[in-house]
Amino acid sequence: MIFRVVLVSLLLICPGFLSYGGEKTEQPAVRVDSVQADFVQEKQLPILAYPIISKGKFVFRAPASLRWEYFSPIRTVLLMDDGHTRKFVEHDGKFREEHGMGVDSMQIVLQEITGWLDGEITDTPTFRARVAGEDRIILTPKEPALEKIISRIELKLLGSSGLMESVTLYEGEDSFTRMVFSAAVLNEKVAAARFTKP
Amino acid sequence: MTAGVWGAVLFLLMSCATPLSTYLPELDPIGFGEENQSRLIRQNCEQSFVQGDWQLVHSIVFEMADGHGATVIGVTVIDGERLKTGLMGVEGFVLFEAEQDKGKSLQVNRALPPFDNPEFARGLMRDVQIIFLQPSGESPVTGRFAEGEEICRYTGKEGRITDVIPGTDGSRRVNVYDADGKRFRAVRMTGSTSTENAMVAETIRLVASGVPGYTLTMTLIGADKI
Repeated sequence: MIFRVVLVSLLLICPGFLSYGGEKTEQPAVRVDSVQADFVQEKQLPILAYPIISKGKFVFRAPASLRWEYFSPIRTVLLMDDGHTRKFVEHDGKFREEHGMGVDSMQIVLQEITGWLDGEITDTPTFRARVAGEDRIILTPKEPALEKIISRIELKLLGSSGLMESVTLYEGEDSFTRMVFSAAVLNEKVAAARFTKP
Repeated sequence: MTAGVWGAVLFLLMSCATPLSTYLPELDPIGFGEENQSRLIRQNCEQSFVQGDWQLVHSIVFEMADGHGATVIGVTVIDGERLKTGLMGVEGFVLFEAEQDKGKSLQVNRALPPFDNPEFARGLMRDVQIIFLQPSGESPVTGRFAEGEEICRYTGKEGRITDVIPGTDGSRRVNVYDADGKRFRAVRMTGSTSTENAMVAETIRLVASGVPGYTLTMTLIGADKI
């Protein structure tokens, strides 16, 4: 099962093969050299009375460079370039690199995201992909060890347009992180330094 | 996972065996005839803790003696007699989530290795309680230090002593000593901000003893009454 993905107008679009209700639909492919989009992240946990809202921006450049930046509540930058992930956190106006504490978990997700953006949503060594209804693609971990961290990832499409509206990472039924994208820019030139420096 | 870094954090959070050079200071108790003053000090101590039910969200910076550090988001929910706490990465991954009724056993809802160690859970909950909850036990002794600072001294289980020192500027210090009078936790809260008709500290710094010891610096992200 293959779903090709590209991000447009904030959203990820699936320009290649989309399968709705088991029926494959051929759509014209859109080449993605780069994508930039804002996102609002909602964190929900059973213990929370109110969700935690974060805001940020991501920048992707084919084939596998990603900048995942939070502006609030904590200014952080995750950089993925040439297979390496680095995390920087702002302290007193200056960025400081940090290791561990979630960077490695995020690297798994970043690698998946760059895969979606650069080509196909399909079964990978890490996740199994399936279509759910007309507007969702669900990815479930193949390894039980990863399932303890991420039970599934849901990609919500905007109707049948192929545009991606949101990504939701479930850690459990009542615990999830949802990112809703907006204001995307497609194929605008992005400086290489955006993926190597905070 | 970089187990080494996580393991170091865990070790640091668990370690409090080596004594600090700071010992329980002498207290000049409030004397007879100063009952009103004593009541006022107790009231100041009580009011320096958040009252009612709250959800507090902080950025937490772990600073270790070897120079390593990590930043996470910490959630504390005070819901009646129930204390709930969670640690998550900035990206939203939950590293640890637990809750506990006052005086009852700890319920860990989620803990990724190595945070699934029961000692870590107990240690974390103890730090959260020291920071946010008024010490339990008998009514405190009130008094003054030699410098004139007013304090409330609580004696808890197994001889643990907690000094609460409310500042005149809305700040608060909490020092916790073991039965031998050695300090093993020092908390300082500063920069109180008015939120929903309550004063909530903007910055909390907890220094834990041990080898090599650790420091938590918590900066308020949000405070919501529930």
